[in-house]
Amino acid sequence: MNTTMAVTLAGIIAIAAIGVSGRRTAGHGQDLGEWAVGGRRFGTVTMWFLQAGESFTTFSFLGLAGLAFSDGVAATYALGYLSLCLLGQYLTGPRLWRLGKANGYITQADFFADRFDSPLLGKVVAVVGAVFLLPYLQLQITGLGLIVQLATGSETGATGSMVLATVLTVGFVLWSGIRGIARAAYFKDVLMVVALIVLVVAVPLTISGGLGGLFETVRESRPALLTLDGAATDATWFTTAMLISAIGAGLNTMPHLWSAILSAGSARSLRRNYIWLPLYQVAIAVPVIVGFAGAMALAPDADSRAALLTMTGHALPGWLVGVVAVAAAATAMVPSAAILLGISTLVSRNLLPARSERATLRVNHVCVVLASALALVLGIARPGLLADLLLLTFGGLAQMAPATVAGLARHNRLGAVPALLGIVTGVLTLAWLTFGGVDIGTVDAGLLSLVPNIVVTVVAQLLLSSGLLGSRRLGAGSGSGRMVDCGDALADGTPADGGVAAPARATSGRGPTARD
Amino acid sequence: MSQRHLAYLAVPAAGFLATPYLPFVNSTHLWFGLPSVLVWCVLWTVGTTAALALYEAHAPHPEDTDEEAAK
Repeated sequence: MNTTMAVTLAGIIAIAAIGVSGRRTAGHGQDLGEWAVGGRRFGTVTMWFLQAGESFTTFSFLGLAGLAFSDGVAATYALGYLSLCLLGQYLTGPRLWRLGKANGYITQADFFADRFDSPLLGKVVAVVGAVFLLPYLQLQITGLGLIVQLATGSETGATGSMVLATVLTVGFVLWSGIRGIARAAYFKDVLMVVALIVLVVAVPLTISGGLGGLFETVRESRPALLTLDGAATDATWFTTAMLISAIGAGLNTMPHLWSAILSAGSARSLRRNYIWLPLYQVAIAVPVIVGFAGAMALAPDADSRAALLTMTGHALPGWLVGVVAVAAAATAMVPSAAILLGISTLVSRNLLPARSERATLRVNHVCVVLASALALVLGIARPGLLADLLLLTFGGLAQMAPATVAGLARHNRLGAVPALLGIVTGVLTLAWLTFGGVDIGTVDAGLLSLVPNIVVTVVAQLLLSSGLLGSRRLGAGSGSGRMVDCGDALADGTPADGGVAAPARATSGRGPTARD
Repeated sequence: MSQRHLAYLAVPAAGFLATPYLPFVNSTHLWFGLPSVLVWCVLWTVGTTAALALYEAHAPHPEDTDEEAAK
């Protein structure tokens, strides 16, 4: 075992150990609310690290360097979409948090079931969320394997690292829940900043003229990398890819983002967090710069995903490459942990609700193990199997945006049936545009799919309002999706607390506006 | 959430979305030795924090008062 591998493995174990130490024990029993949303008590600093940790994934580290390597400044679209998404989250996050606190939400599906008064819609959203998140989880695991392989040159070590990191991530997620993820995120974010500073100093030095000389060389030899005029990454691509990513993330259509929001101690701490998070996203400029260095130093046909770690290997000694690999591995492990939490709570809370809190937690933990095992096995044995599904993940989940906007309104005037028809239309359109050989140029297919989504939603709502589409509700009374809500909590003069209400067994006969 | 205060947030959003359409940005110019598009996007990323801070300071947050009173 070489030095790089030893440092990398030690770092992976350290990340998990820090995650394990996050569990709160004295006087606090574990229930799903404590495990998934930390009892809704996180302050601004914890929230900052938690949300920063979730947003900086293997794509930010390897993918953006690869995009800069092949398409130059097109990679800066990530700075735009992350900032736009934070603007959206600043406006919508506090509203989601207040609804979640008042009504006991733990998951995105809770929001849909409650705001549309439709347990069935909640279940559909839970299925869609869990299915779309699975390839995203696999992407993080295979990304970690790639990181170790590129850093150490060992394919066997890469597979072993994927297994080790997955097992350790499952371990600390099961033991500590969101508090463990937050604790690991502290370590990850600090290490990331250190690694990025080292990279931005060391890598350009391998190029003649350093950082200043790097871009003079780019301008002379490959000026196209400095503009947004590429065949596949032109102005239309830049704008539409930025918009769909910002809409999807800004409205929290990805289920694993909800735990962090719902775990906040107050709406004010959530807002303060969103104010400062953009400054962390500035760090994304570093992988972009390293990608440019790769474009000048490596062969044009080199694997773009390998640009960052190959340049790291050229610039740094083995042990320091190991430190960078640990930081990169953390960009896989922390988001993986959040995704696991997102998938398992959707299943245990919304799809397979148990009768007791203890049984719910047991079902949840079984889901964590099964989802991670499935993603790991597929990542090792059939890495391409979910590739098509992954193409639909971001644009597909963004199809929930119109219904989310309606649900956020003080008085939700959109029925569950139109909301569901819109989502289904959007996802089907996206699948057709993605796999049907339709030429849409460089327009983002997810953004385009929002058009028929919104049209169908509006038309269906008009038909519903005119009485031609049956009941406004969908599957109401058919399940256990009703949450203890603000109205219930305040009816007896008792304020709704930060705890998490178990899904009630009783069905609700209230009108939809009673919850607004 | 007044329109005047939302205008603070519209400024960085417009800055990002205009990136490819501004000839002085989408060019081979280097600003401070770095690509103009990269510097422009970093500036607006920092500008997002400034816009959000302005909004936080000037926009009313009546529900905060209610929540603090309820504690």
